Amino acid sequence: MKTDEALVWSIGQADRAAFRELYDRHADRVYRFALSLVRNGHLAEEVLQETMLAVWKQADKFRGSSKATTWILGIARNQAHGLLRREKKGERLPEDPTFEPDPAETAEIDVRVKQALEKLSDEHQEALHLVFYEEMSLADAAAVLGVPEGTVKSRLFYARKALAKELL
Amino acid sequence: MTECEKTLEMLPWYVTGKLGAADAAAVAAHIQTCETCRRELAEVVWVRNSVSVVTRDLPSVRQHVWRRVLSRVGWHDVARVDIGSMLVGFRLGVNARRPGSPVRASLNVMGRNVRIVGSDRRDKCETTKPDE
Repeated sequence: MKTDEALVWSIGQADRAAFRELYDRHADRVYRFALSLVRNGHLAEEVLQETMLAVWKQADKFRGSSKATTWILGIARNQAHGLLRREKKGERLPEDPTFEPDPAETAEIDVRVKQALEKLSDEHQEALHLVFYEEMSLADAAAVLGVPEGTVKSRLFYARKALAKELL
Repeated sequence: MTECEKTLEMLPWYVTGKLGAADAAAVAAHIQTCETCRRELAEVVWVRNSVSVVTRDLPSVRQHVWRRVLSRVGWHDVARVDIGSMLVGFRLGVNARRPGSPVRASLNVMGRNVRIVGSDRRDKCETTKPDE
């Protein structure tokens, strides 16, 4: 099986099969990360589309200085924040009301924890997602967020304390 | 920086198993002797579990998004003609896509695709997927 980095290299050579394989491997990961940032299914799908489009266009510029996963999630993060900025400026239509999470699924979620997490800043939420959900190393999380490692540490610390204050 | 401060910084990655062996050993040794850092460790474990509670039910992306990605990349067919017969084992397919070569044609013989028209860079490694 090809590594992610090899797939990105092949995509840079316009290999559609490699593009499909990379999508299959990472679509859920990108979508869930986007969902943790934009908190809206439709917008998260849009982030995924734009991220994959950027991967297709920029794959030939990928130099392998970071992991492919880190590179892709970094793109997704930029897309999500760009989309949120446009949302704030009112440049987009409101969300399609037909998209609703499955009530059977949401019923299983600990609502109190979910609400506490949603009260955190975007910066704290994305740090928690990358380290505790994606289980990224400090270096990789810092690369995705585009900040020094010390910043990731402090964001995690304050996120943890804020959650504890809310729930304990 | 004190041992406690160093330990506190590493706790999230100690819990997820992402520390190097030396750092993990240092954290393990320190928390055996430090009640304060043991409490911090318990809190980190609790936060990780809380994040897991919420993220375990995160949905998967819906199937149609791949088609939208294809459309954004510009691979959708705007016209397609297929002539052939499965019985005799060949098929001639002609389709137009944008952007790139406006018309492409290929001959499928006994399951092998042979491109006979259309050769832009984005087409050279095409693999047909059932749902494209």
